Amino acid sequence: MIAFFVNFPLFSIVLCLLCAVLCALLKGKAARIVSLSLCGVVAVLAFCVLVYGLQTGAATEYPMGHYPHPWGNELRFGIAEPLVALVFAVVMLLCLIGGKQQLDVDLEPGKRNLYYVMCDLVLVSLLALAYTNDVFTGYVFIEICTIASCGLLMIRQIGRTTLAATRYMIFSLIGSGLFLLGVILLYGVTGQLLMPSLKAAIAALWEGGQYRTALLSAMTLMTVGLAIKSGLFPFHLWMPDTYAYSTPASAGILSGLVSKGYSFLLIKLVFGVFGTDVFYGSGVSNVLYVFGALGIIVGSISAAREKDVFRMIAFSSAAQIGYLYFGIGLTPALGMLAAIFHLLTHAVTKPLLFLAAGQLGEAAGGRLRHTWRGAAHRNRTAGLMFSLGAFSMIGIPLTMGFVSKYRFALAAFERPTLLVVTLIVLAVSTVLNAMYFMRVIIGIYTPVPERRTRMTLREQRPFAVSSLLLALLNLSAGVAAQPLVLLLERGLSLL
Amino acid sequence: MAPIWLLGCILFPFAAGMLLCLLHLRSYRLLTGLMLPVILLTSLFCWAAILFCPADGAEVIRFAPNLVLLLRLDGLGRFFVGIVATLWPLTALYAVSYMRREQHPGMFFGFFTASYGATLGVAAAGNLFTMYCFYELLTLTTVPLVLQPMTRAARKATRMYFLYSIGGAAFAFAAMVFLISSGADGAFGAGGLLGAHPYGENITYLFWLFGFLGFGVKAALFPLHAWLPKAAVAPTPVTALLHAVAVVKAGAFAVIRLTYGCFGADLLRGSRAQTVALMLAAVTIVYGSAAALKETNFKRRLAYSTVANLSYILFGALLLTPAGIAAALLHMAAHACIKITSFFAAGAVRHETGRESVYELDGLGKRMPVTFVCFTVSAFALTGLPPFNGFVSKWYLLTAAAEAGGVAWVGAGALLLSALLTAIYMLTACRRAWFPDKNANLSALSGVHEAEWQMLLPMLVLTVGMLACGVFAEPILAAVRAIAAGL
Repeated sequence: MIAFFVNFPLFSIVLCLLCAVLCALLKGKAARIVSLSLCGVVAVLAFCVLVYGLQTGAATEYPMGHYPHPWGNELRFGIAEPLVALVFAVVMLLCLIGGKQQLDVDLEPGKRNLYYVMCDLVLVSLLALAYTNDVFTGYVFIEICTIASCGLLMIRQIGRTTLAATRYMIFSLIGSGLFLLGVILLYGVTGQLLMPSLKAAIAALWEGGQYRTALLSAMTLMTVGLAIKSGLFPFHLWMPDTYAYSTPASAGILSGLVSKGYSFLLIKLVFGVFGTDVFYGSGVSNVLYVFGALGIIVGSISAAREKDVFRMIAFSSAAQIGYLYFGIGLTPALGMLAAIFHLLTHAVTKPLLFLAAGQLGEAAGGRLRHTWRGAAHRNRTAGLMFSLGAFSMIGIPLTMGFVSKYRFALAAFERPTLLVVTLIVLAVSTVLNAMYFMRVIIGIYTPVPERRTRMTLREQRPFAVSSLLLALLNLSAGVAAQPLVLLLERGLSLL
Repeated sequence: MAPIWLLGCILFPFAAGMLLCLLHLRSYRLLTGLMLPVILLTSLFCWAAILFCPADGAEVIRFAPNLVLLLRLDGLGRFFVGIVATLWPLTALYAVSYMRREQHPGMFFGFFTASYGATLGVAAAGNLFTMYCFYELLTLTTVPLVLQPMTRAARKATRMYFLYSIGGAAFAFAAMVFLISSGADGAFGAGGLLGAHPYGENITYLFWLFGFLGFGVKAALFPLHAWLPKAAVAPTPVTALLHAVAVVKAGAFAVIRLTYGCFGADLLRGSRAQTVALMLAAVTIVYGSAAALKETNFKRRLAYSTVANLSYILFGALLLTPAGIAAALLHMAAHACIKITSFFAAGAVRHETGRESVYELDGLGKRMPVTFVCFTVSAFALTGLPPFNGFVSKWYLLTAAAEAGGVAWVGAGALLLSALLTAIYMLTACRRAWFPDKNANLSALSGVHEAEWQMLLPMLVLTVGMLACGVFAEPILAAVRAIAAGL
């Protein structure tokens, strides 16, 4: 039985594509049901693959089509890939459930099914990015993901989203263009596209000192391309509008999942293509470290200056992406582990924040911070969930955010030369996070004379259910972090 | 049995407090009728724990191999629990009368009870990680208490308080991870856990300073003290108990734990880090007293005085000698008793007359004699006049500084200067109350009378306590010496 699970990555990808086609034909409500069940099924399939990975204890290469190794197209999965896919599918499901209220308003009646087509396409590209063993397939799904993400953003037809989508498109296309150039260069030098063969070829060339410039350029191009797409400083300027003006479900998916898909691909490339020796020996990692650190600080400062709460959360995402690259740049073992743990933390926390902010925005009737006064009294669930998400971002013990912070701090000690800098960046970022999140929390809990009616739990059942599940995920992973860390550690060793 | 008992002591008030918050009780009587027994019961549990709990620690949860939630009541912990468990019920009684006319009593009493649990958690923590967790919890549970008046000033003060506390904890976190990754992640031990410098001498000192300044934020160390006077906008029971005792002394307590229980006094003695820290404490002592002198708002003046007095404690602890830490603990208890009484008096004045400035105290002594007798006694004690407890603790602080010699002399000078300033800023307030200015408008005081018995009783009890601890200092002295010997 378990041996059959080996096919599930392929099944889930094909299933997503089929559902995307199906949704294009269906009416809005049916398409929603199909997409929601798809997320659920993909999550179950990913869980089965995870079980398979744990059983075999090794990475499995899964060839597709009839072409043998150097030419064919392959999937590869160990433990980290299905785990990430599982989190992606679950979070996407919860985003779609939790954002229902706003989706009903924001989607034009005739175009509802198209939204779910885009969701399915985003899911398939995330799965493909997680499972692929072929850099060109990676590129193809990067492009699919870009287009579908633009769709998720544009579906809410207000002027700002068109502008945001244009900007997002430009940044994204530059990013994927650079990635493609890197792939071409690598192919030109090595003649390979499959990750394991590429890795062997690169290691041999690097050892012999040949094509240093070409390899370094290719590595830089691919890294920078993915960094632009996930929004690393100084390429984070597309983020605020993109996340802040899309409907909360889209904001959750875009910030929590899409940018993480690219980061996860980079982690895969570091282990599976460049090899840690080459990557960390070449100095590219140091560049990531520096820009990650700058991203943390600049993102947090921008968030602190922002009066629009949605844009504030978006800038906070820029800072969190900074954390990811900061960890990747720090060290290959503990730094990488911290980065991938933070990837999950952010994937769980940011959608919670966006969904809760969406509800609070409704309750307050505005986007700006000062209009939010007393909003938590009108919508208690959303206020509580927002606070919890904020505490996780700040890194209060028992939340997932604390474990992330702790793992980053531990990683700092693996590289004593950067020890003090790393820890000061962490501390300063904590202070900045506390500053801007606390301002909102104090505001929403400040009572004002009641003008609006209070939201009851029944009126917002979808949001309540999904945010509660996200919060539970966050807290349980915060309390029982050790099993997850061990799992990720094993996963990283198989990448 | 011991860990369950301790966990109960912590969780019971915390859970009860959260429940009080959620219940949204409309009846003030029911609210206080539920709150008082909870606080009293917790204090009883605590005293039982102090007297009968064995000193060995016990694990509650193991998050990761080196992140363990460990509860343990050693001598120092018992001492702090004792202070807290005595003062909390008294303040609760005071608050029942004080909060009657204020807004949102449910939120106030809920978090007031919950923060009791968090403070006990800090006191009963067996290792640095546990203490850090409860330290953060203490911040979170006390933030709503500062926010209580919900005015613009309160919101600003809350933001500042939260920011300073979280920022401090973030640096203390760095020190904690330093200790964990150096293998010093066990329970607080006598003589410290570190033993040697794992990443070189300077790195050790740097991280100790991170931890010292980080926890020092809550102990209102200059230049990180600004939140404390601002937080005086909170209702008086909060300023009195939390911002003169529980929260700020948790900061000092955490510094002592970090220094003696983790890094080890031997490792730091004579280092540059110790000199820097001693100097900072000395500067804070003089600065706090001088700022108190300049301040005209009654509660803020007392808050600045707290800033100075917390650094007395830190200064004593940072001498890194047994005599120093014993004197520091003595002052911790003495100041808790004194300052809470002063704040109670200031709160009674505000509650009865609405007056907040020191210049408006003229002639109130005759109208509120009990309040001002208590305040005057606390002023004498704070200045360090015999036979009150402030004299005993200051005496031992000075002798400890003199014994330590070297840079400690600067601190001794600061202590003397501060005593002079204390005399001025406390006694001018007393002078106005008892001997009003000739041109003061005393007719405005015609309707003023004493506060209710719930407010007077705690003051009187504490005043008697000040005298008793001053006259019969021997048992307390023996207790703190025993604790100091075990660190």
